[in-house]
Amino acid sequence: MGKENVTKAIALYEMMARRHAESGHAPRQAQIYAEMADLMRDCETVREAHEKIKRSKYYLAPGAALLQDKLDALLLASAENDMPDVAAIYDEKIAEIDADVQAMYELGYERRAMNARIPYIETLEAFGTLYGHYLQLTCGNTADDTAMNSARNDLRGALSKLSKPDGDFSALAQREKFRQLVPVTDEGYEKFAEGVTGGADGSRIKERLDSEFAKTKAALRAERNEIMEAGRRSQANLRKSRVTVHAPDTKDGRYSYTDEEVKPFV
Amino acid sequence: MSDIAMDMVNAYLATFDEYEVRDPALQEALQALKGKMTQFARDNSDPMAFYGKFAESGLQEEYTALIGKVAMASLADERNAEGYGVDGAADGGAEDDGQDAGGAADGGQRPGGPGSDEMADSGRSTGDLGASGSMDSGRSAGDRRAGAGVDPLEISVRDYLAQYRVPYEEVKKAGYRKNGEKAYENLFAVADRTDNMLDAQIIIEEERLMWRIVKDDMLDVLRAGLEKVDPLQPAMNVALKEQIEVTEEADSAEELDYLLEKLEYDKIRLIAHAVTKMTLAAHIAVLLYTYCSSKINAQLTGGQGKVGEGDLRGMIAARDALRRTLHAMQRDFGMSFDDLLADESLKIWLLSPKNLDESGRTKSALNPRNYEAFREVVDEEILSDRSTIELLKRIPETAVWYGI
Repeated sequence: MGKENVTKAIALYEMMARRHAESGHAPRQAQIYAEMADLMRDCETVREAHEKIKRSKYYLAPGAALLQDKLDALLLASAENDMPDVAAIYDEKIAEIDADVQAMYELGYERRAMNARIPYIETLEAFGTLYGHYLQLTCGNTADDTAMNSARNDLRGALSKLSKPDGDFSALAQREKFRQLVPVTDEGYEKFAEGVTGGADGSRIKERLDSEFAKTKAALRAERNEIMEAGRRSQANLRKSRVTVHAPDTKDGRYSYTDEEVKPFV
Repeated sequence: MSDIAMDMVNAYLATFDEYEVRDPALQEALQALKGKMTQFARDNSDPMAFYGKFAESGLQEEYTALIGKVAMASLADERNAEGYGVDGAADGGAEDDGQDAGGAADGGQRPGGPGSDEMADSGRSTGDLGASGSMDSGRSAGDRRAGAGVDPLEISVRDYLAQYRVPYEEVKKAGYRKNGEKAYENLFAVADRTDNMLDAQIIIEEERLMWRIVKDDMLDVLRAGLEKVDPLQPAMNVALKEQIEVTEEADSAEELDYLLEKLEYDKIRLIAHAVTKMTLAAHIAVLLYTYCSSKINAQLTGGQGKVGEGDLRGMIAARDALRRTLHAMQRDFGMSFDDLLADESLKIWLLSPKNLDESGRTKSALNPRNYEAFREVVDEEILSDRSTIELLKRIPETAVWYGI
């Protein structure tokens, strides 16, 4: 019975080692469990195997391997996400546990990793908003000073949040990870990158609009009555309403509209 | 208040039920934390924002620190009761802290405390099963509660699995985590299949029963969250969708850790895409309403006086801005105004929608007749060759509807 249980325990450990090895993300656990299975082979009872493990490095090793494999997964993903400072914290923690297994109880690395991640996340998020600000600035209503100033400030504000991996917009714009944040064509991206760095020169637009205004104003006198009549007739068609919109159950559905409250336009 | 947020917090707190907290100071700290976390769930009912805010609040760290203390205190009690030496304490401590570290290192990426804890727990438990569950005193909390001096080789499978009753009850209480419930029930059913702890552990390992609990329950929570939000608004649902996708794809805790961490970037990218297009549509909406209202006011005043001239300027400027925007939309997105109107997710932004509930499934908005009105405005006025004077003389066939 004793040996039979040892055989079962070995089978269990081998199974675990195999699963971890096959996952491709848990090499340390795979190794530890395989080694532990080997360690138990000459034991006659489970109790004996346990005592043997207890006296060995394998006592703490599974817990350490579990955490280190997790840290390794996080390290790899952080590096692939272009967040080297975050990856370095995980790397350091793995090394600390390698040097002293008791280091696995110290969890300060989580806060450090979270803090290190913040500037990267803020930079990505800010960069992701830049096209919207650029659009509002370059395609905005130049007669609306408030909106234009707001767009200008929003753009400046977003640019000021860029910090990691670089604080410079042009440098970031060259990076593929940042290029992918802006869902526009290459031509559009080029214009966007130029527009953000060059700023929007509204002087030509202003000239064009001033000219159109002057031309219209000059022609207005002769057409005024007809225009005002068109306005009155158009106004008679206008309505005000309040509608409630309901989302469909699935993404293939359509919005439905209810509770329409209609009032004449005054 | 969102049930999901409260479920998440309850699931976190349920982990404490696995320990007998004797130290009055720890009891007090635990009560304080429970109060704070419950209040947090009340104040942060949006399940999508839950983890970010939870991490920011410092509660994640506080939770991790306290569970570490509770676990260590519990181990010390056990050691004293069982007369264990240093090795015994180290043994239990290693596995338990592995669990805590696993849970805490999630960084709030996972949908539930139990998910993260059990995830690491699955590693711990399987580790236990070979090294301690069968050979040792049964370090798991359930075993620990079973009392000092219990021979681990004699502990029943049923008693061993009883430690999972608390999280199971939490899952069951939620009502909608059916796959999670089933996964727990499959685990409990192992006790009906064998009385031998090692055989039980082999079944659990072979059938990945712990992993199924983690994965299936996590998917239940995420899918429920997804069902609550507007399916047509990627900005609201894309992060959850992606999280579901990677959870479905993952076949181990470590792989899930990797994929979720990778997702940090992808979530930002996908949300940025959605928000950029929303911004574009909303920008067009503002310009269209400005154009239409400026035009009617310019008509009614005949463009005279300061106000009339201002409206005329506004109309001319809005038309010009719209032309530039529509040109940029075609150049940058390959999208015409008709394409925008054909996109159910995007065109709603032409109606200046405002969410009426936190899920965004119900909104107030301007009249949908404006879709046709705007189509006419764009085709016949904005993009046409008509002069401003001609536009001022024109009466639209489809009227624009304004808000009350």
